[in-house]
Formats: sequence, C-alpha cells, structure tokens
Amino acid sequence: MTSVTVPDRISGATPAWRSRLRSWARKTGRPAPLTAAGIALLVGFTVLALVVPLFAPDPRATTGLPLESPSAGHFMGTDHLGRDLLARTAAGARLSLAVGFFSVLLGLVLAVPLGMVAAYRAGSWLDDAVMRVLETVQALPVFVFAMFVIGLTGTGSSSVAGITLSMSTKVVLLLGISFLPYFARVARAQTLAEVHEDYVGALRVLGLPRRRVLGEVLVNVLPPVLAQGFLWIAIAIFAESALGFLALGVQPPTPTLGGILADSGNYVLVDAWWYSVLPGLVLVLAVTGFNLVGDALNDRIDRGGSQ
Amino acid sequence: MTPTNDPGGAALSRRALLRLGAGASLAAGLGFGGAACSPAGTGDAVPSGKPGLGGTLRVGLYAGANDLNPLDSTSELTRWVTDPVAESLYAYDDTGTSVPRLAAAEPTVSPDGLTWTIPLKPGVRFHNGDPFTAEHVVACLNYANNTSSPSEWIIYFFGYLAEASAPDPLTVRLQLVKRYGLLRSHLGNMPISHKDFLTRKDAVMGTGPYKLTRVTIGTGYVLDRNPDYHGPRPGPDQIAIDVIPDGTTRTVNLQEGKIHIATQVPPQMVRVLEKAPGLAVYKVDAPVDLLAYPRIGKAPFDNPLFRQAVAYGMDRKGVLDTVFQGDATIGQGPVGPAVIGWDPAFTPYPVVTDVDRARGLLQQSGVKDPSFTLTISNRAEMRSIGQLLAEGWKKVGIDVNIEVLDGGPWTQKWITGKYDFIMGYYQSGLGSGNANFLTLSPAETTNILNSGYTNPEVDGLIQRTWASADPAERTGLIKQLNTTLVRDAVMIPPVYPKTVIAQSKRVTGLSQGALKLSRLDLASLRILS
Repeated sequence: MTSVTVPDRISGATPAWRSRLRSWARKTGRPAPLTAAGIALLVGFTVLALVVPLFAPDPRATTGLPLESPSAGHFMGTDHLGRDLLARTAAGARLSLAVGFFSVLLGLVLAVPLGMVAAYRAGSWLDDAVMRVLETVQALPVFVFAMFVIGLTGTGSSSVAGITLSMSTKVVLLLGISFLPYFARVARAQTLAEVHEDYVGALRVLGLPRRRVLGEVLVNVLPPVLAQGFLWIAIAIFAESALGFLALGVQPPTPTLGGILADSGNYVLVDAWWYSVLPGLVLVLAVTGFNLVGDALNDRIDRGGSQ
Repeated sequence: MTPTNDPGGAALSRRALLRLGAGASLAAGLGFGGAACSPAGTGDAVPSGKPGLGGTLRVGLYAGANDLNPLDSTSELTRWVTDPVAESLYAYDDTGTSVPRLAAAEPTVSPDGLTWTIPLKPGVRFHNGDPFTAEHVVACLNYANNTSSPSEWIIYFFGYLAEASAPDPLTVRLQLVKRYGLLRSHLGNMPISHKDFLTRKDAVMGTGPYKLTRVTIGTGYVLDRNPDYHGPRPGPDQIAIDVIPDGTTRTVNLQEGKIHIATQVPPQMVRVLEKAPGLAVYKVDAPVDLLAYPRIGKAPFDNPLFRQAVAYGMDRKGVLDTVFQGDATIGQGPVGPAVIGWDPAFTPYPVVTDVDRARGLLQQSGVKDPSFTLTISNRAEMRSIGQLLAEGWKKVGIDVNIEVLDGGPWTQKWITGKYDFIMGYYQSGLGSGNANFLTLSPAETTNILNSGYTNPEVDGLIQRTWASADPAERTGLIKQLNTTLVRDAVMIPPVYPKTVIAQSKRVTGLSQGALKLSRLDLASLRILS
C-alpha cells in the first residue's frame, strides 16, 4: 500500500510546531509566546498612548534644543523644533489609537447590520443592491478616497449640516467608510452560515419576528467579526499614519505618528537616528501587536467553532 | 492590506509574514543605516581637471512644473527649466545690469513717456527655424495683457499697456495708458516665446542656447544645445533636470555625484554639505519672500492693533535659528535684504516674541477669543515655521490653527482671498529682478491680489513707484512704502531666507550675480574634463 504525505500547507493542516505550541498553551493555560508578545506590545502601546501623555510635557511646546539625542531629560530625544519626542510620539499614539478604534467601531456599527440583512435576504434585490454598493466603495483605494474627500473639504475642520467636523473626525469617517465592505462581507458570510443552522429554523417555526431571529444570529456572528475588527485596528493605525505622512491627515502642530515620520526623514543624514527610528518602531510594534493578538483571537474562534 | 480569514490554504501564514516583514525591515534598516554612514561619493574628493565644452550637466530640482509656459508662471520651477530656452528682450549681465539680449538697443521713450519703441536684434531664429520678429514679441505682450489668459504677467501690464504693435518686423511699439517706468524692468524679466506656443503648457519654443527636447511629467526635463544659437556657445551639450522632491535625497544624489547641482538645499543639510571638500554651497541673499499676508478685509485682521499684536508675538529668532540654521535675515516687512529699498536699521518689531507688548496690544484691540487659521504651503520649512509661530502666538493668547496646502490650492486661496493669514515661499526675482513688485501688490487697493488693505497714501506711493523711471527715486519710494506697510502690519514675514544651492566642484561655479536675481546661469557652466 502506497502512502502519500500531503504537506501541511497544501492539506491545510496545522503545522506540527504550531500544534505543539497550542497544546502547550492549552495545558499551561497561558497564551502562546507570540500571542503573549502581542499582548505585551499592545499593553505597551496602550500605556504609551493613554498614560504617558499624563506625565509628559506639552507635545507642542519647545522644551529643549533641536535634535537633542535621548537623555534623562528627554527619553526619546527632541525633534527638529526642540519638542520632546516622547511626548509627541505618545500624543501621536493616542490619536492613532483613537482613530483606529473609532473608525473600526464606525465600520462595524454600519457594516454588520448591512451584511446581516443582505445575508438574511440572500439572492434578493436588497442583497444585490447592498453588496454592489459596497463593492463600489471597495473599488476605491483608501488613499484615493482620502485625497478625493480632503481635496473637496480641505485639511482643516469642515462644517456639514451645521456640525463642525474636526480633521481627526474626518479621518475616522473616511477610514470607517472605507472599511465597510470588508466588515459587511464577513458579517454576510457568517450570517449565511448561521441562517442554515437548525436553531434558526426552530426560531422561525416558533414564529419569532425577523428582528428577534437576527438578534439571535448576531450573537454567533459577532465574535468572528469582532476578531476581524481587531485586526483592522492595526490597518486603521497604519492608514492614519500614512495619511499623516502624506500631509492628508490631522494637521500640525497636532502630533501624528505619520507626521513625525515625515518630518524625521529630513534629518536621517544629520545623525538624528532617534527621530525616525523610535517613533517608527512604536508604529511597527503597535501594528505587530494588534496583528498577533488579532491572529490569536481568530485562531481561538476557529478552534471554538470546530469543537 | 486586507486581512484574510483563510486558516490553511495560504503558503505563508500571517505570523510567518510578520516575521518575514520584521526581518526585512531590520535588514532594510541596517542597509539604510549602512548607506547613510558610508563615505559620500564624489563629494569627498576635490575634483581636478580643466573646464571644457560639452558633456551633460545634471540638475536636481525639488518639484516639477505644472505649466512650462514661462509667460504663465514666474515660479522658479518653470523658469529654471525654461530660462535656457526662452530669452528676454533684455538680460542681466554678471554685474546685475540689464543689457540688450533679443533687443538691439535700449528702448526709445517719447517725451510724454507713453510710447516706447524697441528695436530687435536681426538674424535671430527660434528653435524651429522661424525668424524672431516683432510679431512674436507683440503676441507675447498681448497674451500677458489679456485678462482671460493665465499669465501671471497680467499683474504687471494690465491697466498700463494700451497696445503693442509691430510697425516693421524688427521694431516693437508699445502704447501706454500712463507713464510706467517699471516697464523697462519687466521687459528684462519677461521671456519671449514663439507666438504659436503661447497657449501650450507642455512645451516652450524660444531662441535660447538650449532646446527643450524631452519632458517627462513629474520626473524631469532634457535640454539639448542649440547649435544655431545667436550668442556665444554655451558650455554643456545637454542639461538634464531631474525632479527629486525629497531634499535629503537631492543632497545625497549630489554627494554621490549623480547630479552636479542641487537646488533648495534643506537647511539641516547645509552644514553636512559644507564639510564635503568636493562640493560648494552658495547661500545668497536673493529676492526670496516668505509671503506673509493677513486678510485685512475681515476679522480679526481688520483690526490694526490685532495685527500688531501678531507682529509682536512672532518668534522671528526661533524661525531663523531653528528652521534656517541662521541662513536667513530677521524679517520686518515686505522689503528684504536682496531688493531695493532695504533698510537694515529699520527694525520696529522684536527679534523674539515680546509677550507683554503683544498681550497689551491684544487687550487694546478688544478682540475676544483671538484665533485664526494660518494657511501655509506644503514644504518642510513652511510646516516648521507654521508650528514655531503658532507656539509663539499661543504664549500671547492667540490660538492658531494650521492649514497645509499644496501649491495649486494654496495659490487658489491667495487669489480668491479665502484665508485668514496666508504664508508661502516665493522667488520673486524671476518676475521682478531686484525689486519686489509682486509682493507689494496685495497692498494696492485695485490689485487683484489685494488683501483687503486700503490706504490712499500707499496707493499713491505704489503708483509713483511704478511710474518712476528714476532708480534712485524708486528706491526712496519703496522705502517709504515699506515703512508704512510695516507700521500697519500688512505684510509680516518672520525672516527673509537665503537662496541655498549646492554644486559639485566638477563643474565651474554658478554665477553669484545671477543667483542674487534668483537665476541659475546653467549655460555658462563648464564641466571639468
């Protein structure tokens, strides 16, 4: 009898080393090392964003000489205008975190009902209409969309129907809208799977109103969607920084991670390594942390679903 | 950027990708660091050799021009590319004196000063072989004087030039509405293009020592030597102008010998380049303006005390030291050290923020909740200036919101007057030579760039300045104008930056006289063999 060994990556099976790590984590009750690293990075980023600004100097004020290297007075050195880089990085991190969280929240709040309704009425004109509109939004890359919106409204505050939208609110709206198709797709796919489950049929037989049925389905749809949302916070942070880098985001003197990196590029060759490396590292580690934890959440949900 | 939810199908897991990314970032970082620390290329050695004719001169420009018609734009982005292609009737010599170039002699002016007759140089041809005649000059002047054309020269001609005519192929006659002594300056600064190319924005046809042979939008330009040039043979056979937007990259290219000349050297790179023996850095007082106009037609800048509070609250020294590393002069009003009428002893505003005086003026002004939006152009230096100034004004109690705009939207705001306080960087020398006529324009009530400021005394002074043909009288009038405009805080630049250009010593030195008028005399350079 001939046996054929199918590689893990083809068969879709979990690699042995990963299985061993998971079983170790399960036995010990601890998260896998990479997940733990992700959690540590997230905690670090959150502390930087939420706690450091309470103690750091005013990120807009000149508190030192231009381009001072890291020291006891300025842990991350100063920028080209003599402002404390730690304070500016922390303020930028806080803004990034807020934009990331609220843009994903906005996307979820709008996209999940849309995706669920589309799935519940799968094949109907409503499903077609919702998904085609979302595909149109998806076809527009986020930066093209940003340039279009900011070209129309400017980089300052805008007034819409008597409501003044600050630039950071505009960035949240912009990212939230561009995330809609992705969240709606996940919500729709999960709902499509759920509506064929026995319990949904039972609820229908019992004569529960559609709203109640969807409410029950939502309980099962939300976890994977939230896990996706968690991953998208990383993308939102990255996108907000990229907009800041391109001067399309929140405007100076409000610090943004992207804005700091854009300014620091001019000082790479004058030995001010800390100016670009340290804020860049914060951004990289934050995105890595969100990805690692989001990945672990996905794994856990997948495992829960298969058990 | 889209996270996938596929657990097993992908050959590369998300974590593996992250690890790969981290590794690649580290490697790239190390590589970049290594590159940054490696010895600079040709900048490290003093070149030897004799200057000769031929070769390709490479220039790094900080942005590409949207419009290559030199009659549309007086911006350096347009003019540094088109100056070797399209010449003017008069040109500056090495001493900065305006001498005939396409004109055969100085203009003859009628006793009433209203008719100017200009003889043209015979035997000159455009690059396409067409003879250079008066009809081309007339077409250019009519284009510049046409309100429906996009020409910036409309500011200089409209309301003054009644008619341009060509009584014969080598004579141009200008009929003026009123006396206009300034016309001679404009004739020396306005390029002359072929009449069939006046509406083209992607090409320019002139009589100059170089032909524009290739334009790669956003990337660069190639100019080839005109073998039939009517003047002395230019040095290089070819001039390649590369658009290198990032200042650091531009200077690294210079250090590595990829370009011979780097324009707009970032202030922080000046010291680095000065240490390289193979490079020369020119820091020249040229007609460079930090245009700084409050919108006087609306609150809070309609209040002169508020404007003065803003002027006293300006951290000029901070901008000079921190942004320009000392390579600038403290600003007071519209007239800077490179233009006529400059008085270094006239310093009514403080070098550092005078918090007490500014607060006092603010209180006297009666402006409640003082705040405004500072609209600045999107350049690294301008962003830094905006932030430093905002911080100084914050100490005084004025809340400033910064708006950063790219060139097009910034200009649109300036022209339409939809700003509180607008600030931008402008090389006025290419349009005005050593006098800042354009930067004074927003003070004139009837000018399309008027900032809302109305002062009959200033209008009268500007009219007399424009009309005068006597340089000494004009200088005196501009001094008076400057004094009034500074007193009223109508134009309040923090500093007057220097023009900073770096070049390789593998080519002969740029003309400092030309640089003082914002010009790059590329045709006169010789590459060392």
